[in-house]
Amino acid sequence: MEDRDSTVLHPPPNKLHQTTPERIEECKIELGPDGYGIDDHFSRLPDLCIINIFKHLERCEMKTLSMVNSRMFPFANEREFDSIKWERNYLLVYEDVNRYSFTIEGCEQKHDCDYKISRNEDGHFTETRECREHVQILHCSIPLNTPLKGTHHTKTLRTKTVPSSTSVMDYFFAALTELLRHRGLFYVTLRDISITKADNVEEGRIILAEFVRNIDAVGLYYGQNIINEYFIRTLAGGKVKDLSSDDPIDFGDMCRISVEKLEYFFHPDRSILPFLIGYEILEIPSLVLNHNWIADLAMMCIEFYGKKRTEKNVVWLKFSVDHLIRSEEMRNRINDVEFEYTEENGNHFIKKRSDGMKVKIWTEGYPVEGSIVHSIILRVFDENVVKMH
Amino acid sequence: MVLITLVSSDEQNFPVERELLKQSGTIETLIVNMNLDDEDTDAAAMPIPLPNVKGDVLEKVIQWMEHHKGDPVKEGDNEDNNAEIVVPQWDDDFFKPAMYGSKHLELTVAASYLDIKNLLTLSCKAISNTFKGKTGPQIREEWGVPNEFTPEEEEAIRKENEWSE
Repeated sequence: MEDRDSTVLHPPPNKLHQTTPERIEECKIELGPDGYGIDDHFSRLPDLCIINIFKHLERCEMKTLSMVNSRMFPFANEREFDSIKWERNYLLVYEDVNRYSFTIEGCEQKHDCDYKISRNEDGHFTETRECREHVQILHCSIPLNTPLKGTHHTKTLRTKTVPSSTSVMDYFFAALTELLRHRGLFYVTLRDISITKADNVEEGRIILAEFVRNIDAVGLYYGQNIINEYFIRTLAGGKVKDLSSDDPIDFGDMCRISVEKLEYFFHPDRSILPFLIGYEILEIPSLVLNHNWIADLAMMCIEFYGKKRTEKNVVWLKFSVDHLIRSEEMRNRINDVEFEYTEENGNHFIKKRSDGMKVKIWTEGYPVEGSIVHSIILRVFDENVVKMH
Repeated sequence: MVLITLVSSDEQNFPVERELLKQSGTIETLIVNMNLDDEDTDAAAMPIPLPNVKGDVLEKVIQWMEHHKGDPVKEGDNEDNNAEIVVPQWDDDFFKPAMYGSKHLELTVAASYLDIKNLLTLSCKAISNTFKGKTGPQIREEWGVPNEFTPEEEEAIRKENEWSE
């Protein structure tokens, strides 16, 4: 615009770089003193107007406009446009040619309904549902058994496929976290994730763990090699729930990682114990604890949950243990000034003398690949509230 | 009929019907602050200066407000679904002649400054419509925007955007 007073409304452009003389010559457009083309009135629009123009664009058009020049470039990433960016509830994240494709689909599901059954004049019963709440759920598939050629935009990737050797890329999780945060989504299902990129398994695991802890609830159907000590430590404080269970959606402090096939076990050191406490439910069958730590873990649970009584008054922890636990060992390991140990019918009980908080411990054995794996279950409860035998 | 005088940045006077000015949040606020609605106030003797709007642009704004006299005035943030907004034929014809020049953009800036929400929305929608189906180079050519990106930078931006295709 000819009127330079209009710069009152124009904040100085935040340019990615200054236009060099070479570039001026290259584009053969005369530039004004502010670095924009003499006839480039569009770039001189105030931010507010440009934002308003962007609001009318769809995601792909935003992308095109952001590539026009450095003035437009930052606007495509404005958080204000996030509802527009994803309004189709569908996002494909992909890389092409010998790399990997991801599909994310968001959908809104009706949840928490009132059911009303009424009888029509003709004698038939009609059921109506009145929905009190909509829950947004994001489904994500990371499939691909073999590298696909070219660029893929197909929705067929939504379907669940067998675990693959697909590596999880960091930008995928960055994108997904952003997407979830902006849309206020609190639940994500991850299927068939396999971090097997030979040179970078640990990094992929860390990225996934960092991602998972930023989401309120995650259904994690994992492939192999995801869960290790670092993963659990990172996860501690996060919330994970396995969608494969039919439990009602209850996103309390809950961490349950399902293992349909126990393909991978890990043996952490003792320092992991504090990170296993704080959940109402925590099941990690692939985590193998040393049997000598169980008494300590039980006493730590009693101390923790005694101070923070849970609503249900019962906490459930399930892991694997390297050997069956023995009464004598348990008895020797507890602090018998503060705690009392008893054994009944093969179940071990540790109770805090002062407040009645109690842990019931028992083991179950099941065969895995020709050998027996022992799982150990700790139920923490308040004896004054819950009677458990 | 009460007339209120608007004064553009180049000192041109525009007597405008009071009713029309309800479409402008900025002017409406000034009218209230200057008590121009009071019976005791001589509104004609108290022109409203608009130092950020030139005469020819203000004339277009008034022309637009006259056509949209009586339209409901939006309040607060625009909650409309922008994808569903359609620029009416009259407005399309109104914007089109000056679309790619400075005049239409000045009109947009004025709508923003004067807080005329309907004009700003339609004007921005009309601009955004010009981007439909266009490539970056086409947009640059139409709007006179120099290409400041090197091929390497363009490739980097393209890659950055790729994941959200």
